[in-house]
Amino acid sequence: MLEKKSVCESEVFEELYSDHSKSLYNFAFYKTGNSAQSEDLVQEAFIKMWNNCVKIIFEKAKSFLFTVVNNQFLNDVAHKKVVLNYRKQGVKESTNENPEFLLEEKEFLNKLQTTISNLKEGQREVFLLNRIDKKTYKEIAEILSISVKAVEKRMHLALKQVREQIGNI
Amino acid sequence: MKNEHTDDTFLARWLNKDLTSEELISFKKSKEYEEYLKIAEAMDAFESPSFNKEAVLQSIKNKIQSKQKVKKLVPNWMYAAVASVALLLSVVYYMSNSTETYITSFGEQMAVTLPDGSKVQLNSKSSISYKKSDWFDGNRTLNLNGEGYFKVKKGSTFSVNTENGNVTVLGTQFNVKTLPLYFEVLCYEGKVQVKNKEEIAILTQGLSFRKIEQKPSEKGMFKNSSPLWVDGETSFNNTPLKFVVAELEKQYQITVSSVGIDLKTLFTGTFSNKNLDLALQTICIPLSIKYTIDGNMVSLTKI
Repeated sequence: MLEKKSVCESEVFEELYSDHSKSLYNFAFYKTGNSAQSEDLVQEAFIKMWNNCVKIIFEKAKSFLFTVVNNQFLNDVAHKKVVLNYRKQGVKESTNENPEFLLEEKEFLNKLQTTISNLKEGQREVFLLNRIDKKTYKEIAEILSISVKAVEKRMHLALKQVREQIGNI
Repeated sequence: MKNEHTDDTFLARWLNKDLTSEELISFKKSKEYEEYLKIAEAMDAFESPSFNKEAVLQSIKNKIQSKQKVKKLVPNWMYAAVASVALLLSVVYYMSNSTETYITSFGEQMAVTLPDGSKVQLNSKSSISYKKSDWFDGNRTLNLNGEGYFKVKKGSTFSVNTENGNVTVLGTQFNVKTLPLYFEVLCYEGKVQVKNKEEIAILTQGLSFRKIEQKPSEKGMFKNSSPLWVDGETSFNNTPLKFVVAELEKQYQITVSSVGIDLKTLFTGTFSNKNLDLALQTICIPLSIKYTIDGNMVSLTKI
């Protein structure tokens, strides 16, 4: 704590970028569902941080970045129907499942994808930040400036909603 | 049992592996458990779209740099810097170019230290003025009106300019008295050059130079080590009464009127600058003059 990191130094700036840019991008993407728009939001957040670097202490830089993305999104992004395009991952390398099972599983994933797209924005971002970015509830609470309890409620509701709706599709 | 996992954070705690073992066991028995587990496991199959970290960083840097360039051209603090430098310069210019003036009033004396450390003592109703910039350039010049006693530090030429002539020295002590039609220089130490329109005189210690009206200049000798007026007395040596009266008026802020008295009478003597009655006595008794004081008015008549 003796030496305080200044956000105005380019090494510190790059350190912040490499630590947070990806999760910031994901956060933006869970909100907008648009990759180009998310990149813009990330850019704007970092440029804003640089322009205000004198006023921002290192420890607060992360929450500053997420707040900027959140506000910017609320300010100038029209709420469109978000269609998330997840790339599927070859999780299972074993191929001892029969084709019918594989087909079923593919179908299930498609359903899951649609269900998630239909979630409310608040629930979706919490759910995906936790499930995909592996962020803890505490971290998500800090990013969104809400309580951990509120994060847990959203998680609970999101999962409940997904289960209830996936059967209807 | 069915409602056990319906409190509003239950599933969140399950995903976070925060459930107690009893809660977990009962949850595993419920029919929803398998579905939840499937969803949770399926989520691992997803990932967010790829993010071109490097390209975005590059474009951020470009934007920052282009903004910085605009900034660098005329940053805000530059205006402040330029303004304060200009202010500083103008203050320095003003101070160095300004004319310093010291003026004494009736009965007042003033000691002035000049920029080079030389000292001037001003007698009543006198003034000196000099330009600071001249002194910084090593040009020791000042203008005198009235009477001043100078103690000059050694150095470059020191000039006292008056309407009646100039006095130049190189470090010495001297007294200059300049009034309309009256010019007197006394040298107390060192060497002094006196120059007026007609002549140049060089005075050494104990010598005086005097020019009254249009008469030829007189050179005299004296013994004092410093002017008497510095100690509160004014002395005259064969001086027309006119100038004695003028000096009296200056020291006491009075108006002197005279009837039937020859102001050309020469007076030799000393009067006090502190006691008007005493001063009038020292002047009037030897010259057989009667005086009356009425406030600021003094009238002189023949006995």
